Amino acid sequence: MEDARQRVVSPRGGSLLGPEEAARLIRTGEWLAIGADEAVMKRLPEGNWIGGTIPYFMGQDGGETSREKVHVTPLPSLGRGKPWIKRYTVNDLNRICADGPDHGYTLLILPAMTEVHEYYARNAPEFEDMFLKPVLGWVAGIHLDDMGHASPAAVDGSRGEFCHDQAVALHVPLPEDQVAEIGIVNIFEQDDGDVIRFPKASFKVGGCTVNGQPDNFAEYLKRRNVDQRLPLVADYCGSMINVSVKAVDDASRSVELYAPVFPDVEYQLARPVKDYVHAFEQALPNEGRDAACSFNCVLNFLYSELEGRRTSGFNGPMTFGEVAYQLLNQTMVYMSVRSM
Amino acid sequence: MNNMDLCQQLLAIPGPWRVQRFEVNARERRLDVWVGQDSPSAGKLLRKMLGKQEAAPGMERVWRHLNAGNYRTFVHSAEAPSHSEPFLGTDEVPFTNAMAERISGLLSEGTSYRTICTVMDVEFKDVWQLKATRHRGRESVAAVNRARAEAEVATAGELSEITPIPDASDPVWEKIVAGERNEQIKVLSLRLLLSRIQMQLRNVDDPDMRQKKIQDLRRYFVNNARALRAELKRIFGESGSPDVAELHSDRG
Repeated sequence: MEDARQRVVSPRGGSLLGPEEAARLIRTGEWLAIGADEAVMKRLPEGNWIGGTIPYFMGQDGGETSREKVHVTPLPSLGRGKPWIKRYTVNDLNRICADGPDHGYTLLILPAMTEVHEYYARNAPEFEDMFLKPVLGWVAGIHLDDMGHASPAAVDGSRGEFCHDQAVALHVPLPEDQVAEIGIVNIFEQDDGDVIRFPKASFKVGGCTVNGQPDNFAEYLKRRNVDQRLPLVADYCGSMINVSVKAVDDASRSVELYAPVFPDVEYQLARPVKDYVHAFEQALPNEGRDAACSFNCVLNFLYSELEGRRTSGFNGPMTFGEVAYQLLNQTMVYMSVRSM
Repeated sequence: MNNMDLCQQLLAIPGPWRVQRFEVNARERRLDVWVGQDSPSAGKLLRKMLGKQEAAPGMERVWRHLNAGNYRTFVHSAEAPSHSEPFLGTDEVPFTNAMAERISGLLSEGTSYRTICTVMDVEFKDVWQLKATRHRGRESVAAVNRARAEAEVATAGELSEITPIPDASDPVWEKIVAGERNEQIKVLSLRLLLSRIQMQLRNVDDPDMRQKKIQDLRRYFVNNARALRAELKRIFGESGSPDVAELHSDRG
């Protein structure tokens, strides 16, 4: 990314496949990350893989909703030790970075709308060794038509077990001369508008300050007639981090969010984006193009109507949340592995 | 569900571990729980296969665990100490790993000893023992990591190509945590880490806390020195001047 001597060693990325083809890949023994609807994923053989339920994809032919296809990403490995799978609950999720290899990366899959999902969203920045070792991943989801009668699952492929209340992580050692680099592509920028702050870390907010004056966020959105598809955006030393709006409840004067806001962070609403595909392709850096592993947010898929459209350079599941160290929203996350 | 199962579930103890018995002392608001493996012989066999040390027979340890509601909870076990099971602990500290993590988290946030002791209902001496043990551990881990990173760099014959990382006492670190070098930083993990530290230190004058955060930040650079060549040059480049460093940067 930064040095001419550093070259990409794993530029493969993933593919959207039929279940038979996915099963053949699993039987090769290669380490894989898999996304698919639960029913088709249950037909896959046990092996060296972890996965998450999701029926939305950006495949080689464009954006696609499928309950039949399987997205498979071969993972860079070949380190000194073998990769290993570990499942986490809220009792030990704070050790995920400490458990990771000294040199390598960790791929994490969290089932959406669960305790582990919420725990990670709120607390990940405080975990031991967070930011010192690469952690990326995504939040498993379900088809939106299944809301209320299905639940997302993270999958331990080595045992064929579907975890509806646990996170599944794959810790992958890399050779000493290779490094995993995680990046994000966020097409949203802060608009030149009001500065909004919240009093505590929360997925549900009411009271806030706007330019230092007490206000209510639900009323603020209504008063300003804000397009709720636009996220709140915070500037983390130059990286734009989104928090997306899930729903506004007029009765309780509160707003539900897809990720928590944090106190001491200044947020601004995002500047509207006219054409997602164009903006995305402009924003995608060379190192993110055809990365070893990538995933994008289902909100980008839905709000930007990506079904049937291609985002050149990205191929992966469209997820209910993304992890690049901490939980993100409406963001593409990618990982490249480079030689040093 | 019987009381034993309920207790096991409340304390989030997974199989093959089992709550063998428990005692409730309502007057002292104290819950004592005895924990063991489902099949002692299988546990012993596994430890033997893994080459792990056996606990001396009958040698019971007790650790203070996370409170169960309003009750102080103590876990007893004759099994070997553990660094990984949240409901067990080690010989070095009087807390289970879960309790030790919770207290360490509060300490790293800058919460005072008095507040921790009041909120968690624990003894000052025990918190102090935990902090001292963790500090020794971190120092040794940091030393090992530094030595390893520097040895790797030297072995590769690249030492002269990597911008040296200043000592933790160098004034440049105060500039970094004050946000004066934010524009030189391009790597996502460093941006997120530094944002976190800047937020944590925004209203903190405690020099110990500032020094701890600077050491955490320096550890990040030492551990990742080889991968951060360009970043180091931009941030700490010749004379530590970002203007000069920028001239050597290969990306904008």
